[in-house]
Amino acid sequence: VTEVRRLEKELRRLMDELQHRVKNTLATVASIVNQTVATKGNVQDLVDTLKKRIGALAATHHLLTGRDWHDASLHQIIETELRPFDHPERVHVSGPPVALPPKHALTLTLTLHELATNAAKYGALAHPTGHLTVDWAVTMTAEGRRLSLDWRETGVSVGDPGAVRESFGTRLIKNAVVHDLQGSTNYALTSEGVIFRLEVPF
Amino acid sequence: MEAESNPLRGLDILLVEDEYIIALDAEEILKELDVGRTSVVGTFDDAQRVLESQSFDLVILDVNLNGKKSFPLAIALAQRGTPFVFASGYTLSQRADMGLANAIWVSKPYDKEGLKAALNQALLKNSAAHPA
Repeated sequence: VTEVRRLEKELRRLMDELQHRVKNTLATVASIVNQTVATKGNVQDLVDTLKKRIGALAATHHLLTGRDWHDASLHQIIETELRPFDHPERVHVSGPPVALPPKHALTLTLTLHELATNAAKYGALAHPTGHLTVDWAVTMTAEGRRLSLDWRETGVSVGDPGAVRESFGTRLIKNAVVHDLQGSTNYALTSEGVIFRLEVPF
Repeated sequence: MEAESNPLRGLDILLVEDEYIIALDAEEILKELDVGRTSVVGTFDDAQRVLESQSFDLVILDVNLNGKKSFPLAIALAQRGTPFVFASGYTLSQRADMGLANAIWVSKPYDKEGLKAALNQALLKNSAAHPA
């Protein structure tokens, strides 16, 4: 009887945890929908952008579920984001294996998704002369492990970088890692393309 | 459009929410509710730091901040008479289990009417507890 009680209690705890997680996921999706609706005038563009943003989160949920919600591989997250843009000769991805905890995985997914989307619309993935390099390193500091990731686009001709309006995607790229993961970001739109660096403790 | 006076107008609000995208959404809603200024922090430690040096008219506290419960912040706010609401996806029975069924809650995802009602309720409760 004690064993049954213990199992019932454990099951209850798991149900509570699941309920909390699902609610949080729905809140994230609701926010993505609201933010996307607020910035897109064209319905087809809106539907397309929404599908892709939610699809990016779903893909990482899938990776996390396959690892019992323990972690997800940074390499796989990047791979998933860049797979639709099949330009192996223009895209270079390199870095050591990194297993990201769930919150890191989800925030980096949203960040990398917006970078890839912008690159496909205006940047290195939109121009035949464009090149994209994504590389990262893990260092040990007094505070613990730290991931540094560089996203560098070249071969793009940006007319007047100063005239580009800051979109929701760009705000997310600059701020989500800082707010959610206590990391830092450095985003620059140069005349050659986007240069972005992020650092996060994990 | 709203003929009645809006007690939330111009208030200085602190939003403690650990997810950027959800915080952005809440900020938009607060703007629509005509509050004065919304400051946003994402961790327990940042919230504590900000609350030590500044005062706010109202605070929205996400219960679960990266796995850390925000209850100590709520206790500090109650002691100094700052109105606050808890925000979370917890059910009523979970709230009762935490001994917090009587606190003011707003459930996530945030919506305009829910947030407005909870914030107004927190102001009323506070002014009843601390008559001017």
